[in-house]
Amino acid sequence: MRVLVVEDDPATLRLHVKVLRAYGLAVDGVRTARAAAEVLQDVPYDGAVLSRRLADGDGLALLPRLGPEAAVVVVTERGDAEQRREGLEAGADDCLTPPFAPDELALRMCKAIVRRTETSSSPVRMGRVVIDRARRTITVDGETVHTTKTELCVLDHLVAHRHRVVGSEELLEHCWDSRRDLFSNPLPSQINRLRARFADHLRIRWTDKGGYLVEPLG
Amino acid sequence: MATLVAPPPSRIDVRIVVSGPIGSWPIGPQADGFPAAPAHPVHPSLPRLLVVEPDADLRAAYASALAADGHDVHAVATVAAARAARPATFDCVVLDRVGGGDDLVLVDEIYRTGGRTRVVVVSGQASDADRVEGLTRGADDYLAQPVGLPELVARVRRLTRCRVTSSAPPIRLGRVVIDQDRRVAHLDGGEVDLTPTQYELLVTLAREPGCIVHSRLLLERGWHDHRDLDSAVLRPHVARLRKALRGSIEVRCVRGVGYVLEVVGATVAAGRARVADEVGRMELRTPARAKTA
Repeated sequence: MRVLVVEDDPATLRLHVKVLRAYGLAVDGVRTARAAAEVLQDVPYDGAVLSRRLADGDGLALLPRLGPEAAVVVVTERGDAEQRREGLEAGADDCLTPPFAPDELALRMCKAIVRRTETSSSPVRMGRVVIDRARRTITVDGETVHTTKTELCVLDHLVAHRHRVVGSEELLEHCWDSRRDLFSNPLPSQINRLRARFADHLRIRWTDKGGYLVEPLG
Repeated sequence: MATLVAPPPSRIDVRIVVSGPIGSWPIGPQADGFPAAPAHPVHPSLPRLLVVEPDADLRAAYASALAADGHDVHAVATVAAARAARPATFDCVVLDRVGGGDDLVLVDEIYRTGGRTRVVVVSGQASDADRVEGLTRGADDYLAQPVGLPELVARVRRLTRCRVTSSAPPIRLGRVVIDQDRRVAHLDGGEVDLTPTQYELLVTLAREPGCIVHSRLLLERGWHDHRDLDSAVLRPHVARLRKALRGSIEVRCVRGVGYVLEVVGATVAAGRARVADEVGRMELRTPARAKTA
């Protein structure tokens, strides 16, 4: 899942981007509403963190530019309940007022994304593998499996769309941020690593329809 | 991807429900001495809400505000009473955490049952650590007491009205139906044998039937590395696509621009008008080419 953070203050922006990446999300950060509007034209984000106080306007004004599936967390100015209510009424999934722990932002973002893509609020079960998309953990028979952040991101996207075939272009777009080297294709190696890690439990199949499909084994 | 359209009816049988004042049960059968849990909502289309709040005044305030916003509210005072009411059968649970450390167990229980119940925790203890713990254990929202009623109502509404929308709808074009989730096209009910490239071309054209799609866009969708490709590459693929669709859909070439998809026998009038308009504009922009064509 790929998320855009729009935040005025460079130190806060760095912190938010860092913590969201630590939760296995692909994250881009921009500082102005204009820059955000530009990237939103090109990238189909799954979520966004919009700050209401930007140098060139209100982050809430970017909401209509996001796709209907994107989960939005709005960061309001200090201690303003009215702004929080406004954000929710405008269609944001969640509203936060500083000060808050960076982890809280990440947890709320993950939860909002999961609410947008899953009908059930509990973890996804695929055979013996349980993927807790909101808490960002993967367990096999109750034992935690440690993966890299990129692997988690790729598996999360495949699992989120487990009922359909997911094209490789879509995976590259949703699981890598703007730092990706456009002259290389990092996807096959990540798929292979996932296949090796879950060799006994999951099958990540390349279908003749031109995309990947994840299925439980056995 | 699974879509959730409406909450599934838990009981099919019809019975008369006597709806009391806010916070009371509809009258129903008693089981195991527990107060009867409502077998189905008072009004089937309203989201069902369980409010767990020990303070009587607050409970009444929450319940009336949430009911006024169009929720079917059931309010209880204790976690034990909430448990008896089977919290996992509700759409959303608002839990005031005053009883101490133990009440987050209710959140764990709801999370484990695997339903689609959302949980909002309201708490006097809302340090950063408390919030992170509450959210990690499965709460969808964690609010610090005192919480303004308009905000609480807005947050609950956000959770109960948000529905999953991740599945792409099938595209219907006369005899052809394109299942975007499975990346297949059906003609008269039978699957059409398409290569991934042909499918991409079809779906790109079909998303806007009657509109000219530029060759550049088709190359971008069908061939990921398209920079060096000439639009002539498209021709054999479009030809094979036409053949596979056996005349049910016409893929017309607009010279110098791209392709346009038209449903044979049932072209949308608006689509045609748009094509005419587009072609007109193209000719205006490139008169020389239009003349030679």
